[in-house]
Amino acid sequence: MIFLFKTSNKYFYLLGVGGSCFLGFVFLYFLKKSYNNKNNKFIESDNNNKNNFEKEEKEMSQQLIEIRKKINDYSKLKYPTKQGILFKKSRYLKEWRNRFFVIEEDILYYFDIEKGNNSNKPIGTPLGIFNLLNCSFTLITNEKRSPLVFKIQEENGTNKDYKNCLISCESAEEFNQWFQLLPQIKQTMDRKKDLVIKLQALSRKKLQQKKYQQLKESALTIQRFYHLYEGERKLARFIFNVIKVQSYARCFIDRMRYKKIKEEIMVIQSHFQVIKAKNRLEKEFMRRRIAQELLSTEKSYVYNLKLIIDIFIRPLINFNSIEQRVLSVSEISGVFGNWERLYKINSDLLVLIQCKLDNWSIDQTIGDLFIENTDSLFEYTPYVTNYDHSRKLLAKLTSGNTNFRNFLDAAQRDKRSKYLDISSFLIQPIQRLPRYELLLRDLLKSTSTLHKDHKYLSKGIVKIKEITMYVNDQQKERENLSQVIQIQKELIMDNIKLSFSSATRLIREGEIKVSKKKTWNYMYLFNSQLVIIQKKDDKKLVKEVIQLEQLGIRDDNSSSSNTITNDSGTDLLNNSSNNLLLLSSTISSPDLSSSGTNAINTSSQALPIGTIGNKFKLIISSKTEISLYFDTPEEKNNWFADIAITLNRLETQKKNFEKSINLQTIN
Amino acid sequence: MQKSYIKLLVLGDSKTGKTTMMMTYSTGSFPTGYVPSHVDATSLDIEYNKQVCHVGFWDSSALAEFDNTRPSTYPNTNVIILCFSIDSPTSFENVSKKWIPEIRQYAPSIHTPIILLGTKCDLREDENTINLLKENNQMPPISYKQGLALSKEIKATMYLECSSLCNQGVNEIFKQVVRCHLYCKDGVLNDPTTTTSNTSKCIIQ
Repeated sequence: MIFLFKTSNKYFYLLGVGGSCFLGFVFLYFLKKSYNNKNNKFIESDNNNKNNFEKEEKEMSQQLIEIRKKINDYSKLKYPTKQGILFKKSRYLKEWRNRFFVIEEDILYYFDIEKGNNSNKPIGTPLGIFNLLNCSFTLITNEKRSPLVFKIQEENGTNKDYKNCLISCESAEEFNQWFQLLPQIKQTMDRKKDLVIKLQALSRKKLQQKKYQQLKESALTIQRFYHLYEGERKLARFIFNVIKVQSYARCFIDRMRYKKIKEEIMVIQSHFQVIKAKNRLEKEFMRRRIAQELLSTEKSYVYNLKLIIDIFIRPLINFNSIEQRVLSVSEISGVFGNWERLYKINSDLLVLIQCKLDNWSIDQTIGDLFIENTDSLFEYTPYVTNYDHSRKLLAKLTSGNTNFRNFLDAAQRDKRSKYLDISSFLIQPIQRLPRYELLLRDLLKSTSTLHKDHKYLSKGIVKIKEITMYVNDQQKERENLSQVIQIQKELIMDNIKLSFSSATRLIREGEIKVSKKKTWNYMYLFNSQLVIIQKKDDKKLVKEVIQLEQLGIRDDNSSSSNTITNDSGTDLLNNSSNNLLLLSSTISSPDLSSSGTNAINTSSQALPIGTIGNKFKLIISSKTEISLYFDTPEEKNNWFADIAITLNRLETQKKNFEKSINLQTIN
Repeated sequence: MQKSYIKLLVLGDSKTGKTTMMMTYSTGSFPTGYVPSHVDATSLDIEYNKQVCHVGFWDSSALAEFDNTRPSTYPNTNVIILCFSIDSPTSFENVSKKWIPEIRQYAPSIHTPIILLGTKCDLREDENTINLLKENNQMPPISYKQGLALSKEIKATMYLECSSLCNQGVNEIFKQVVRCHLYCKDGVLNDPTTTTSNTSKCIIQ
């Protein structure tokens, strides 16, 4: 029995230690929590009397009551550390009773033992509970019953009422086990507590370490990601730097290229500026040279005009006595014309030109001078028209007048005349007018269109051209008039009246035949008449005079017959017995003033003139025709065209005359 | 001995070098810079075979504006120089087309000596001139034979060539002018002072 008890005690001890290792901390948690909250006391009780049991039962603290509610039977104690039957001395009766003691964790329980059977089983609720953590264990040696006695007493209370109990055992070995175990339990529980604290700390530490590790892993991940991103960033930065360097290089290259191109452009621009300035300078230089030529030629011209006055005109006029007189006044004016007037005109012009060139600048104008001051040049007309007569008179006087020839020789030897013949001087006014036009045109070429003088020069050229054309027209009219007068003097008229007006113009003259068998005659075509003469012993006999107003012409050799006839009038035709055709017009034609120009545009005349044959017919009336024979077909065509043109012009003038008469009648 | 007066009339197309030739002879050098297109009549003394003659230079302009006044310069002319430019075939053609008819119409006499003068003879072998004429599809520069043939065609007294730029042949022109005036009668040059008078004779017809 004791051996079995001993063996059971060891088993329970090992089992309790193992159980405490695994469940201690949980229980401790619960217990500590309850203990800290309530601070209940352990109540000691004796189970000798039922009354005492009930009384103790009331006095238990609420904590123990709660424990009792939960552990109301021995079977609820699953893992006891140690259990056995011990003797307990009661408090009031002082007698030793058998009780079943059980240690589980840090609580000491003792139960009542079932008496009937010898099974030693605890029954009922615990009779008493001690919290071993708050108890002290004292060995008592003065007890009478046995030397093996120890006292369990709570340490918290100061009152004497705090429960305690005396416990003894049957054997010393068992006593020693219980007495040693109880403090060990306390130590074990303390160690257990420390272990729990350590475990908690360790758990907390592990938790922290886990969290830290997670954080670290997260940091590592972030760092790794950051590294990856940094790699990419480095690559991006590298690429960026490369691109930057490239852009710098390209920018540098572009700047160098731009600089080079700019230099080339500046060189080209400078060349262009140089060329432009050079052109401008050359133009201005040429312009100035032409202006200077205008001045120098005007100077020499005026000098020569004055020279002629000094050497020729004034000495000839100033001869006082009749014996020394070389030329008459009319002869002097016949040779020199209005020379002194020309001298005055050009002296004034020279002053103006000199003033222009004395104040010469780039902006100087010359054209305005010729616009405003050249009206006096119209007075060149008498000199120009008189020049031919002057030349002939000079030749006549030179050959006929010995004194005049000697005078001319003496004048020519004068150093001032540079040994030039007088005709060299007399020609100069003739050449001066076209010279002005020539110089102004050259000056216009050298003047920029933006220049103020360009407009003036254009107008000046027009002005000078008008003057020149006017002078030329006057000269032509005079030449023509002298020609007609010359012809009139040569003609011999018998029984035929031939009258010329101041408007008569010679158009054409040449040899003709009135029939194939007869000899050559001569014909004049004037602007209003057709005169046929016969040359006989160097005399010119007028044979026929045909008025063009009643005349028609026909060319029988052409492909189509073309007849040009004016309005026919009643003409009396007289045929003489000696084969002379005498024609006199009974209608006196009005003298139409010529328009001054003999030129008619022949392109508008569609005359179907044949190229075969050398004759055509003059239709004088419906009954009378005259055939004219010419040397060559070409000459025939020329005569035919001229006569047709003249007839057409007469018709036009007649219509205009009638129209003007009608207008006067209406007014 | 009394000095005789020679009226010399210079004709020809524009820009053939008439004025330049006269200025070269007067000043002795080619004129640089601006050359006027027309100069007034001047007079120079030219000595030939110990005789001194006054030669009056009558320059004229070929422009249309002077067509009315140019006939006035023809009377009393002793010698006519008719110019064309060797590098200008147009001026060569105008010799027979324009100038000869005008001379025949206005000259004092049909026997007035005419000297046909080819100017700018230095341009005959000039590459630029030849290429320029070729580009314009014109005749090449006038050769000496062509000039000589034309002078015979127009019944000129003689044919000469000169270059004002090189001052080549310019002095010879005016010597020949004096010779023509002194020894040319009825269009026949008969100079007894030269040993080769027979070879240099220019007979019309």
